[in-house]
Amino acid sequence: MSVTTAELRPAPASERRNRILAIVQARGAILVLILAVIAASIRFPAFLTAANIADIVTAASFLGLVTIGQSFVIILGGFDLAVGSMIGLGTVLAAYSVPYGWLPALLVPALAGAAIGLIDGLLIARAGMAPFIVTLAALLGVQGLALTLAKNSLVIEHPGFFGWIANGSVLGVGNLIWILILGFAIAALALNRTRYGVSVFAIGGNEEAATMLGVPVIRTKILTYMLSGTLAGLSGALLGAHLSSGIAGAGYGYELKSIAAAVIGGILLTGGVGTMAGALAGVLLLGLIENVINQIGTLSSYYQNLASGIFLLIAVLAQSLLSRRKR
Amino acid sequence: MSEAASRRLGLGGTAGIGSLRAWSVYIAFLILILVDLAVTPGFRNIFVLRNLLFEASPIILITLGQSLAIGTRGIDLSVGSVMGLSAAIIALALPAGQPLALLAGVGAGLLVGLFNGGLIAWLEINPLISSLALLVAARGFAQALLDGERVSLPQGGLFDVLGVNAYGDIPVVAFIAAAVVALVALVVRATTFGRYVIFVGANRLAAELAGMPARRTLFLVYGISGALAGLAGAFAAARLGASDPNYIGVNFELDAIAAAVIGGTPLSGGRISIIGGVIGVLLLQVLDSSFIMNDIDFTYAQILKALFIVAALYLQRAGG
Repeated sequence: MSVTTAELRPAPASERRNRILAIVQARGAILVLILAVIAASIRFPAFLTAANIADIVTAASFLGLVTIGQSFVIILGGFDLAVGSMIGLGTVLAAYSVPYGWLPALLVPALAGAAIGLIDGLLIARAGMAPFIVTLAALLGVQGLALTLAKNSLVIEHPGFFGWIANGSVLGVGNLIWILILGFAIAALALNRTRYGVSVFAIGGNEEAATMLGVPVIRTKILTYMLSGTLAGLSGALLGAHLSSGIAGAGYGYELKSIAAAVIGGILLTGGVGTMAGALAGVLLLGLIENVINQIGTLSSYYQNLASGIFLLIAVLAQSLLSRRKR
Repeated sequence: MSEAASRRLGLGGTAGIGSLRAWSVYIAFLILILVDLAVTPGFRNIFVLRNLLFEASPIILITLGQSLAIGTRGIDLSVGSVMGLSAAIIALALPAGQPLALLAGVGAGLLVGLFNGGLIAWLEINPLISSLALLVAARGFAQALLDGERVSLPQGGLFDVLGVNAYGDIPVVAFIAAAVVALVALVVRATTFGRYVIFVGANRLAAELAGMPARRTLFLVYGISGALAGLAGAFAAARLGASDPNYIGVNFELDAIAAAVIGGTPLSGGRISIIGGVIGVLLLQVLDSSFIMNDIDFTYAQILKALFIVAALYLQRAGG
């Protein structure tokens, strides 16, 4: 039997083709990002300036942080729909905590996110409930909590060092940009170089097999939802510092945007496949679309949604065509 | 495998627990109504019922489409945005007359739904993603069409029929919604298409191997969901007396999914409970108004709603 299968292996030529297609699928977003940057720079002279690029990346940093968590959860084979509300709650909690110093203003939202993630994770991993519905309930519940705490937006009067964390810069580069880069670097290391990362891929690829191989499935799932919640809380805290206010609805739509960014970045919704570089490219691409539509100027900002939606469709179409060609 | 096994068990022996679970949404609804009648001031007032039915009718329509989509093991996140798009198209098509404008709104919903279905059926895109893309795109399209402005609709004619008129204290839209519910329930229970929907959701591969037109079924299911969302958008715009692309249908997809799932249509597909979904919508609506009428902050209602969804699903899961 084993001899026959060995003989039936595909010819080297098609193997090479498969490998190229796999690279295109994993790195396609980066390729498109580069092409889009080139096209935008040619078309709009104001695009490729240091200030504009810094603007794009800074604006994308909040989405970037939640997309890290979202990507982990999707690679694990789940979803986290609660991140958008969690950002809102994060800004509100940060506004309440600022009087006690910058550290509580960062930690309280992060810990609240971890707590929500823990509840989600327990319900999903231990009780075996569908991630979609559990995090949907969390979306509603956290939104309600944030609105209960702050019906109107809260103004952060004296942000001090907390404000600097989001608005200051080091070596001429904005802090949020540093945080984004650092976040993705650590995430990439965690995903590719640690036992935890291996577990995430293994569970997303085949949960039953992972269980049989002794992968700590329940613990990994709970940890991952906690990570996503923590990052969303932290992203909210930073957004609160950036805007100098706590707004319950600040993260509206981020759950969908982060899923879109991850998927555009080549992370498969079926789980088990994805890279952090791709996810980052997805985040930056969405930011770039927004920026370019602003550059065109004559287009109303409402076309942003239309363009993002169409772009997401094209990305997913390309992905499905690529993976089908490979089969 | 365990899922299939438990389903078999559910069909065979444990009828007591199984039926209790199936009835949980009805029991919860009944308890809520009884508590409200006892505690909530003014709940007996007939205007409560009337308002409730006006609010619930469009959500019932999109929950029907949602239940079909979930039954095929899919989901339709686009319904809320399609409501907004339909309302925008209605506002733009007004010069052609009210009947044609309403038809255009429903038609736009149908087209978006069929497009979504085409992506899912033939290009094999994950329904979550295709409908997510349409959620974003249809909302943007609606806003762009009206330039983000609220456009008032004229009074009188069909808009009054849908937005104001009632027989006794039952709104016309509630009668329409009830008729559509009956139709969809009949289709699910008594037609070949209904069987296809459930079989495709239970086991797509087996359904295809058995020669069922799985792709065509999916295409039609999402088309129906889109058309119903278009009609729901017409209801909502008529009720509001305006087409507001930033308001109509926002977050309604979440209510529809929650109602369908609470009502006993599991996300794992292969089972549809149309009447359960309708009761799910009414349950969530009554829950909302109970809080408002007791002067409790609506934000607590939202937290409780979330806990309620989790509790309902946890109970459904127990033993299944």
